[in-house]
Amino acid sequence: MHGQTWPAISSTQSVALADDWKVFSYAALAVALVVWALILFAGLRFRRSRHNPAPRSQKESNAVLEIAWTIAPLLVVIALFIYTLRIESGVEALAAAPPVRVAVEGYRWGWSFRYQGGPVVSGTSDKPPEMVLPLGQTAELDLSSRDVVHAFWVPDMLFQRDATPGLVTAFDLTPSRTGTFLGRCAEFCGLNHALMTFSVRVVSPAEYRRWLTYEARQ
Amino acid sequence: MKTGLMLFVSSAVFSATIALVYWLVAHDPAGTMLLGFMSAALTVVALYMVFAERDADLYADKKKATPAEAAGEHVGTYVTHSPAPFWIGVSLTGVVLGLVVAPAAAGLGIVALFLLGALMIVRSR
Amino acid sequence: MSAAVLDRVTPPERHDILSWITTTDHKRIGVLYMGTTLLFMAVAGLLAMAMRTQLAVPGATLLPPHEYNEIFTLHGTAMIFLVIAPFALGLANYLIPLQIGAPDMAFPRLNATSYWLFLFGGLIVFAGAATNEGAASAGWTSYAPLSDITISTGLGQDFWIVGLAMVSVASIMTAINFVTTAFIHRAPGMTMWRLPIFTWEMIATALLIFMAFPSLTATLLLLFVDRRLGGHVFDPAFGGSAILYQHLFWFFGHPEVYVLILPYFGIVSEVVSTFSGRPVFGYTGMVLSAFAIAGLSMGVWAHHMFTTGAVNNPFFSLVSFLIAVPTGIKFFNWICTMWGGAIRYTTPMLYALGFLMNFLLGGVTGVMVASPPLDFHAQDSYFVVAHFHYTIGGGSFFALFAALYYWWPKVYGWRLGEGLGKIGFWLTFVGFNMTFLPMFFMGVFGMPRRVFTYPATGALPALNAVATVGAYLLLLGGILFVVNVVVSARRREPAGDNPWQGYTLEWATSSPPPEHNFHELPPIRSARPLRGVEYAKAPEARPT
Repeated sequence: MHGQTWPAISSTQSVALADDWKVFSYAALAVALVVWALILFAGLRFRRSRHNPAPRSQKESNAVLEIAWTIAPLLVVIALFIYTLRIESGVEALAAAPPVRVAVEGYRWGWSFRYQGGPVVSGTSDKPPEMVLPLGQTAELDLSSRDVVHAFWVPDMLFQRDATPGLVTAFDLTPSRTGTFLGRCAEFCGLNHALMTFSVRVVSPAEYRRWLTYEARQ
Repeated sequence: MKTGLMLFVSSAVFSATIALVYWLVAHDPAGTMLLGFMSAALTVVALYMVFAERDADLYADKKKATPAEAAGEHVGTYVTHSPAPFWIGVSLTGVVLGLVVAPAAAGLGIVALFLLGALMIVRSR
Repeated sequence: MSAAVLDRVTPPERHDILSWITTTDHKRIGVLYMGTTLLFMAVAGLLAMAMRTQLAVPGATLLPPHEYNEIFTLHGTAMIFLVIAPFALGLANYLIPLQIGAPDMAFPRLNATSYWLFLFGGLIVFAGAATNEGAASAGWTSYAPLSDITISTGLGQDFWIVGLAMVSVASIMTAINFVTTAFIHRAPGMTMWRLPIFTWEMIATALLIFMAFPSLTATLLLLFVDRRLGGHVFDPAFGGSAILYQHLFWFFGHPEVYVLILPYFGIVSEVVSTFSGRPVFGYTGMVLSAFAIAGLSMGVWAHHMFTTGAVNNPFFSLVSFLIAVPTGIKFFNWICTMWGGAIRYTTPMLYALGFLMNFLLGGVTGVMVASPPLDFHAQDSYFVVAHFHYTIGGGSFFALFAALYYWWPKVYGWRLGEGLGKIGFWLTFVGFNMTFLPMFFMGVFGMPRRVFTYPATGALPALNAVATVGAYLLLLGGILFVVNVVVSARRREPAGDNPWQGYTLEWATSSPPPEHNFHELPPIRSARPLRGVEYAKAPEARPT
């Protein structure tokens, strides 16, 4: 089972999410490196020493500089916002007629997966439930909770959504890689929150149909 | 003290604006109520500042004032010790623990607070 | 009023316990606040050591799940409500009247009341540990329905609610005092635009407390109504809303983290300015950015709810990104304060530099999680834990120690040792980064927060082991601080009025100050009144 290392980017949505991660990580790193360099340079260069016994100036403002470092970051964050908006609307888009629909319910401390027109898979930490999904086909998950707020998180798909009691929230997952991926509850829900795992197993569409028929007979 | 006035007026205007924008964008009653109450509270203070500012003439706001100029004016007496704060703390502790654990403690706490209030009224005469 | 007259009307200072219990002197209240928060910090720190020890290896059985949940709840609650915020409020209590040239706060009895409410409220929160099912264990965020009576059945949760309600009221009282004092009790010539940056940051903090804490008090009350008075406000089974709890809590919760940082921005400004020998660069920008941060921070609360699917993510994402701009302004101002200076690397200056290095990483990772798509993976993971520990731990906590070393001689008249201080700084800096840097990766690799253990696969075991070693280095740094206090107390190296050649008014009086703060005030003609004093003594030193 894949997990607890670099995420496997195993859904179409997570490709866009991974791009978002890359853009923001590089931007954050770039800003941090530049500002760290400025801090360290100022901190070392202007140490008091025999060559630098007293401050060389008492200048306390520079209008051009101050306006520049207000406008420039403003433009950068607006650009980042526009980029993020595009990514989010793509990721949150819901397909009109998804081939797979699963009603997911979290409870203390396990999950149940009710396939539309199909089987119900459920389990707790003793035997964590496994959600089987077909490769390349969009699955709409309708998520809710039986008791407290939980969260359905598949790190390898870079995605989670809260399971809130009294609310049903829908999102699409389109698996793009076969394999078995670890799932966790991400919203603290009490005693066995740490053990409330599940897995997502992505198989070929033919294998999925076989599984559906087999499970329906159980 | 114009700066204080500007501070509360701009805060009131900013929060009213953000409350309106939030309602138009999100149509979320909870958040709009919270922002609305916040802006109402700031407006109350801002209105007070407008009236208070009319008669304000602090030595502190005069750029070239010296302590000697302000000397001699008796503005009041600073309290240096008082048993009231500790007593309020103990009484309120009794009240809240009473709410949780035992009503008797809450009752005792409230009585203690009343006694304190009465004592302060008597001593201030 | 002349010194001679004041000495006649002021009774001699008492030192007995009763005089401390009945004091309304802002300096004593400040010391009481700061001392109490350091004790709470020791407890909360030991709770963290317990957690890190449990998490050092996967599958450890040192802490069973329920105890672990109580421990992280108390750790977070204490660090936020009983350490970082009240230390700043206590420091401001001590400093604001001194920095503005006033003899005390505007409402001395209210001031003392806020301390006792804070102390008793904090003790009540911890007293929950002695109840039937132990202390509160629903996290410092205490989400409903988890914190509701059907699930959190013990009294500890109720103790948490009422204790924090007392702390909340105490904070509002203190904020009232700060704003009134700063507006009305400034010395002649101390105009608002000559106030030290620390005092300005505290005014902004007080404004934030006014706007945010009423929501906390209301939320706590509603939670209590649901738990003990038959309410169903947050109970979906009866038409209540779990999402409503999150709105109400985070409307307070997000401004709270700016309450946790603005005072420390002020501390860093004072320390960097003094030890660079230069004025704070961009004074106007510093003041305006403090209020920009405060104002914007009231509009970002639901970025903690990006993964609910129930809020308008773009609104909160945009405002969250915007906060980076005034924060950046402050960073550039601090760098320019150092630029062209002659920096003296005392212990407080080292801690201030550590703040700058650490908080930067906390800040840029904050911009990262302001992007909802990124947050869909990072939310409730160790990535967020790393982010907020870099801002509050790497930021506020480091500035807290800068403040301790910087103002200790003013409060006590003797200094803390520089040798042990510097060793302690390096231990803390290395230990801090060793503990929290791996957590960014733990989060990316899929480790959720608030877990008492994790599977023994992938990179998590190694990363957790490194973090635990770092935590023990932090512990060592803390122990060294205590040793330094004891050793320096024995030595009692007299500090004098102005050991650091600072510029602000608190350095114009004796160490410690007399009961009424000042025997006489220098003329106040700028934001650096003591620099004026220097020029009066040596006009040739004035720059052209």
